[in-house]
Order: sequence, then structure tokens, then C-alpha cells
Amino acid sequence: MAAAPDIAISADHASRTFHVPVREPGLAASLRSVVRRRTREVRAVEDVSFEIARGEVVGFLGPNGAGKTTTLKLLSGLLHPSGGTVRVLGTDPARRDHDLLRRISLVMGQRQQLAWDIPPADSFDMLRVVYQVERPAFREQLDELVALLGLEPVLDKPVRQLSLGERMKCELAAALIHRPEVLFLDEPTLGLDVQAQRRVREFISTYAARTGATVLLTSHYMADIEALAERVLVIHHGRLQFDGALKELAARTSDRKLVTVKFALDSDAGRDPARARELAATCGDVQDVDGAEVVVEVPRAEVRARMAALLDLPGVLDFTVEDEPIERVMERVFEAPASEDAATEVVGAEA
Amino acid sequence: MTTVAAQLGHMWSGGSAQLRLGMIQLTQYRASFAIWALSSTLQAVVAMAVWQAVAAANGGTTGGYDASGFAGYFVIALILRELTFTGIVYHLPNRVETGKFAIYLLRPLHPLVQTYGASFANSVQSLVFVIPIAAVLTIAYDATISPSPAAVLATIVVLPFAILARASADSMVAISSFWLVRISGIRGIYAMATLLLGGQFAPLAVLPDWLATIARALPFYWALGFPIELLVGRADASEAITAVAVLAAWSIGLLLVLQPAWRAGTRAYEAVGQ
Repeated sequence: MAAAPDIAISADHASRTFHVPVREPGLAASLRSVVRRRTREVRAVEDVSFEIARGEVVGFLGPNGAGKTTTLKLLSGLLHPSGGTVRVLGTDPARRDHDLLRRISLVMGQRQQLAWDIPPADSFDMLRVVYQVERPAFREQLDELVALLGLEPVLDKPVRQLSLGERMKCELAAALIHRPEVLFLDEPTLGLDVQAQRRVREFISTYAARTGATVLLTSHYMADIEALAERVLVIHHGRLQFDGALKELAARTSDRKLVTVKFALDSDAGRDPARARELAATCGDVQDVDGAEVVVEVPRAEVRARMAALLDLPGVLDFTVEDEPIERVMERVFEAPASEDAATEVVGAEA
Repeated sequence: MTTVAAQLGHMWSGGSAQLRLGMIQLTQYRASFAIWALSSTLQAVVAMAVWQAVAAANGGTTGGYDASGFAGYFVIALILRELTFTGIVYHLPNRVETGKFAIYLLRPLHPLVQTYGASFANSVQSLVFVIPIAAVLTIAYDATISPSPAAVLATIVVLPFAILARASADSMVAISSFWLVRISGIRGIYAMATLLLGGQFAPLAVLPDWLATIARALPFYWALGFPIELLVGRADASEAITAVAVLAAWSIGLLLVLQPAWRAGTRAYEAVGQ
């Protein structure tokens, strides 16, 4: 599949298989494994295809072990695909062409662009040389990153003395010194407190808007994805399960809506939560009762009919209808077992 | 040609940046580094003491070296070892094993250049400690070091080839970690071989003939033992041509193998831990 010029990232039936040693626990099994080694084949990514246009910010969702990080490693050239092809900015990333490496960046958790024992400023300067950034451009970019991320107070502190949040922000700055056109972010807010998460999110959003960079972002925090990406890719058991708008994901994978019913405080139900529950239960599955407010789950197709019934209940003051929270939608998607043709693991192999 | 020159220029500046960063890092732990540098001199001091004792037991000389000759040999060995030691066999596998190697693959500079730049910083800083120690040993043991200007010039010519050959051989051993991950066993055997055949443990003149013949066929003696012999007046400067030829031939051969091996290795590399 030849990528169109406005396509920044593409995967065409990309797969990646690992051979993982298999051994029972214990000394005897350990000794046996010296003589007879067994491995199993793990298909971490299987037949994954998608395209991302230049300037798009796309969320990449999946539970642990779904294949997100492996896909990012394939796209950044750290791993070679076992099958299919991937292209980034029109190039095969596995060739690790230096021209391509100057135009992309991968941030993985709190990983290690920065030398541990010395201030981040020294590492930034080393990266300037390695990425061949001219001094004026480097100065300008660094000033911008320092301002956006609030790095001024930490620039001359040894990295090992920085907090997790400070370190993550410095890692982000290090990854962006060369102003990459394509940015792969693997859990950029992992382990950060809520305020630091928000700040990193805002920064990524600003960076993408200012530079027109293409961003592919994985995160366990749905707030990251909701704030940054209109489009999401969902991977599960190594296979791409969904590619589209976040809202569409909710509509497609959830056949329910949540209705919050508010009873008047001077009504029977408003005074008695048990009564409120009893009344609301006639319209749907009660999910939560909080004083005079009850949340019920109703089938999406029956919302209109249930609303009519709801309005007839005594004491109803108000109600709202919402999609399920995206976290619940994702839980539902990820709880689904792998389809028969999407087996990800264990093809008994011996070596 | 311009592209090649630009690439070489980038390798030089990128490697220098790594060297600079490495030196900044090492200055953070002065005491630890000083102890490490001092301990690395012990091996030469012990070898010197042993061979001086052997010479004394043999009526004053062994393999043509007397006590002062052995002192001169091992004092020079201390310094040249630092200059030709690349550290790649330690740094690169360590990064593969701990999962830190991926970051080097993502930068637009060959990971071996990055690794060598960082490890060369160790050598440069070691010399800060090793040179005064060598000076003290020279005086204390009345070391014979009397190089002719031609020998000094020949050493200066040989050393870049020595570094290139060692870096190539070290890189070949180091990249086995892409497949094996943990290579301490292989590294141990390699270290012993280079110690013995490179002249670090003993001058070539005291080795059995068969071992000396093997040593002359391999690059390690020409990379270290021969420059030491030049500077202690035990080798002729004209032999530098042979040294350069052997070292260049090994470097070319190893680099030719290294290139496809590197490609295959990075393909096999699974970026575990990242």
C-alpha cells in the first residue's frame, strides 16, 4: 500500500510475533530448561492496518498487553514487523534512516533521554548536537518548551533530584528539542498527579496545534484521550477493534444510555431514597442512588419509550440522558473475549 | 563525497557531545571514579611485581627484560591501555540487558558512536588519575622508558589504527548481546584473551613461541603490546608499517562483518523493558 503524501503514518496488515521462553517455576524445571528449551509464539500485533493524516492527533487505546506499545515500537523503527508493512513520513522506520529519525520522536513513560546524575540542560545540549539543531533554533525551541512546561526552576537540578512530574516534563522537552513532525507518546502521564497530568495534556495539545505535528498517543487515562484526540484506534488481543471518532466508539460499542432522574425534594421519592429507587427501577436498571437522584441504565433503542414512562412517575422534577462514561465503554470492549481468529498467544513451539 | 564528509562530521560532533556529557556525569562522583581508576591500575602493578620477581629468580632478566625494563613496560601499559580501551563490551550489552538501548536506536547517530563517545569519557578521565600514578611508579621502580623520536612518532601513527581495531573487535563481541542478552561469559573469555594476547599480562617476549605466533596474527598485540614495546625501546619503529597493516586489515575485515551483523542484531533485538 503506497501511502498518500498527506498520510504521516500508515500500517498495512502489520504483525509482530515474539518467541517467548516457557518454563515451569522451580529448580527442576529450571535445570530441564538448560537442556530442552521451550518457547511459545506470542502474536503481539496481528494484521493491523490504519492510516493517520498529517496533523492528526489520534488516541491509541487498549488494555495492558493489547499490543499498543509494540505497535508504537514498530512505527518508531525499534522493532521490525514480522509481517505487513509500516510507513512513517513515507519511509520504512525499521531502516532507521537518520533523516526520518530527525523528524520523529517516541516518548515512553519516564524513559531516559536524560542523563540521571546531571541537570537536564546538559542533556538538552547533547541532543542539540545529535539532532543537528542550529543554536538559534535550539534556543528558540528550548525557551518555548521551558515556558510551556514551566521548566525554568528545574533546568539546573540533577535529574535524579526531580519529582516524577518534573522528570516527565523534562523528558517531553528532550523528545521535542528537534521539533519532530511525528510524535509517538506512550503513557505520557503515567504516574503523574492530576495537576501534572492536566499540564502535560495542555502542553501536548498546544504543541500539536502550534507545530501541526502528527501525534499518536496511548494512555490509560481516558481524560488524556478525551482531551486530545477526536479519533481513536482501539486494539485488543493484538488486533485493531475500532478506528473512528471517540463518540462513535461509544455509540457503536454501547447499546445503553444512562438516565439521571431527579425527584422533587417534597415528593415521597425525594424524601425516601428507597422509594426513589423503587420508582426509577420501573424505567431501567438502577445504577446509583444519591438522595433524590437516581441513575438508571436503559437500552439505547428504548430511550424514547422509557422517557415517556419516566415522565409519568410521581415527583419527577428533571432528568438527563447521557452516553455511558467512556471508561465503562472501554471496560465493556476489553471484557469481550478474543474472537476465534484473533488468537494472540501460544502456538506451542519448541526450540 | 560531501554526504560522506557530512556524515563523518556529524559522527565526530555527536560522539564528542556524548564524550562531553560522559565527562560531566563522571565529575559528579569524583571519589567513586578515583577509586575505580586507581583499582584499574592494580592489575598492571601486580603484573609488574610478578614479572620482576621472575626476572630476579632467573638471574636478573627474563625475555630480555630486567626489573627496570618490566617497570617501564607496565607503566606505559597503564597509559596506553586507557587510550585503546573502548568499553563497548560493557556499555552496549549493559544497555541491552537493562532495556536502555532503545533510546540510542531512536537517535540519528549510530549507537556505537554514542556508546564509544560515552565510554571514551571514562578513558580520558582515568588518565587524570593514571598519569600521576604512572609517574610515581616510574620513579619508585626506576622504570626504563627511553623512546626514540621515531618510536614516539610511530606510536602516534599506530594508535588511531589500534583504537579502530579494538573498537571493531569489541563491537563484534558486544553485539552478541542482541541475541544472547546477557554476555558476561563471552565477555570474560574475550577479556582474558585480550589481556594475554594483547601484552597486558606479559610482554610478548616471555610468552611461549606458539602463543606469541597467535598473538602476532591477531590485532590485540599490535594495538597495545607493540606500541608499549616501541616506547620502551624494545621494538623498531620500522615495524609500525606491519602494525598499521595488520590493524587496518583486521579493522576492515571486522567492519565488513560488523555491518550485516549489526543489521541482523538490531532486527533480532526485541526492545524488551522499554
